[in-house]
Amino acid sequence: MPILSKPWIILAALTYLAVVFAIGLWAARRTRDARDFFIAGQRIGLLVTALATMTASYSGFVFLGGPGLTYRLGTASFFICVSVSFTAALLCWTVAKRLRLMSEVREIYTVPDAFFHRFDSRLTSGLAALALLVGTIGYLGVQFRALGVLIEAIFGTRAYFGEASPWVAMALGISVVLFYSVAGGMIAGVYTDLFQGLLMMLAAVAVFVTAVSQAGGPAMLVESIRTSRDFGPAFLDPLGGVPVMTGLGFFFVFSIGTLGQPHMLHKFYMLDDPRKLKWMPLLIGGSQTLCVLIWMGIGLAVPALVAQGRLRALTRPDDAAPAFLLNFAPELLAGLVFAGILAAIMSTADSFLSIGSAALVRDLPLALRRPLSNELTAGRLAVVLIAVAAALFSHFYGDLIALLGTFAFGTFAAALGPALAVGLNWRRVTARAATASILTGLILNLGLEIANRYQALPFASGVLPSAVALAASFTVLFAVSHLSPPPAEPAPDMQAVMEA
Amino acid sequence: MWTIRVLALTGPVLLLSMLWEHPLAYFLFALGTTVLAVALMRLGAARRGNRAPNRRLDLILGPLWIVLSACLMGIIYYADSSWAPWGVPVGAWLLLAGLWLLPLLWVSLGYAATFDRFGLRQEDLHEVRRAARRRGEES
Repeated sequence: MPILSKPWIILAALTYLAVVFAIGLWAARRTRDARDFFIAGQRIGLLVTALATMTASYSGFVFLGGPGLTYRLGTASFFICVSVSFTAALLCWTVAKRLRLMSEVREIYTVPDAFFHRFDSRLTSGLAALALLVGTIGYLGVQFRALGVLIEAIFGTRAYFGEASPWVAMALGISVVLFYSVAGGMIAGVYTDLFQGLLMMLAAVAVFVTAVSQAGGPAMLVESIRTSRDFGPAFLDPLGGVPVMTGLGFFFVFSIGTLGQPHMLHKFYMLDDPRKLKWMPLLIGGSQTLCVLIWMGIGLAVPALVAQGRLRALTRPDDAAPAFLLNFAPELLAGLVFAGILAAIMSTADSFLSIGSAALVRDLPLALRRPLSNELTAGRLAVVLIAVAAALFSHFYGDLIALLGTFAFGTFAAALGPALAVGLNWRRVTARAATASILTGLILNLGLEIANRYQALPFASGVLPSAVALAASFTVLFAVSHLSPPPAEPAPDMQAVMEA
Repeated sequence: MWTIRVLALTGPVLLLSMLWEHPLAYFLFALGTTVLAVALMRLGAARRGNRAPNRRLDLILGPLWIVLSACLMGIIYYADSSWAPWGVPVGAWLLLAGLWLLPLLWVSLGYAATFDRFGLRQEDLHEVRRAARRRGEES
């Protein structure tokens, strides 16, 4: 898309990149040890932690994949995002408090660390680290694909690089993320998250208002879609465009599955005072609700504009957001929104690079009893390695951004969610049960995803592989806990954490 | 103990409903999802292993469960219905109002309002820190 004629867009994107670079440089000077690199020295306040959690959870998946999925499936796609109304409270009640308290009593930087200290099992924490790596590569793949789509749209790289353009655009974006991840670690991550979170909320609200007004107002938007031959009334019905089990499965996986998302859980370790969790659900849920507006606004406005004949039907649904912004948003707003989307993608990518590197250089070596002597340097190298693996995965997976994201989210949800959510709150959960639950979630999610690709799922039509894996993981956790002998009494400090 | 029993049952119920190609399975799956979400919140809110029913907690979680379940079931029941106030299918209204906007304020403010009772008490935090110090001294 030739947009060099729209200098405000490029200026906004470049300004954003410059600010992120500056934060990376500033944070690099404040990163002195592994504690700083992985959990920002545990000195982050309420607002920054809440916004960092929100920006980590909202990414290219929400800002580019979401509108694309709505264009393809209609309002059924909203089942993915509406559960933000209660997932922050679910997180805080079920896992956040105990994870944060665990970091008071033990040296805990990562989610597998929590598994190790809760279950006193290297096998459990090693498997959690493995699940984390698999999901991280999938999730990073989503971000890199979205980054490529966006940078290609902003800088018009296709005109110069032709078929190689998505790769060039992706490489450009990855190099910026790598810079501030490698240099500044989690300190850079959370402070860019603060800047990015504010930008994302501002952009989401502004674009929602613009999208609805460009489509002729709410009534015209609805009427255009309803009377369109391409979309019709079924597009507006949450179960009109997908099998019932797909819509319900989205809701199930993206609500309960939040409990296993390491990029969100990891942020709770950084909070300076655990009592500040009190206002966390309101801040996370409120900011997520504002950001969801971009998904809904563009997701509904683009079909309405297509129905009105003002926009050509999209050949690639993931182009919905760039197509709207380039053709219908005022130039300055488009620049702001592009920067906001860049922010969303980069903050999530940064979180995953940090978490993935911790799994590779800290969790897995600890599980294998081979701790590394210099975690900080190894962590920085691991970030580069994981980025390359994710870029390759994204290239070979080849699906919609949102569907790639569903797989990655589902991996974390099924493998880590049940063992953490129940294991941190019920002493009867044994290490064996947690291990079995993680294995079930990991293997089933991967196996069923492959079976689904070959249409060989033995379930009712529309059932999501990750929904089956998540339900099975819960089932195995309780079954093995009941069947195995009761675990020994936890150490007094862990007992205090579990009873608080 | 009932929270644990309910949680232990929801996994198999959800799995069965995904195997069963029948309209009733949709309602079962929806119910399983909302029960699991609310039971997990209740499990997390329990202190010192006390998971007995608590009126104040149930005042927050009960209505949440009712709204989520009713809206999900309404969306299933009214799928493909021609009832569309202001042109928007009733299922979409239930999705946006009942699953998204209504629970947000209710549960977030409910969490904050009961934080000192079911979240984290100052004395519990002191107890955890004391335990950490004792562990440090012993090692």
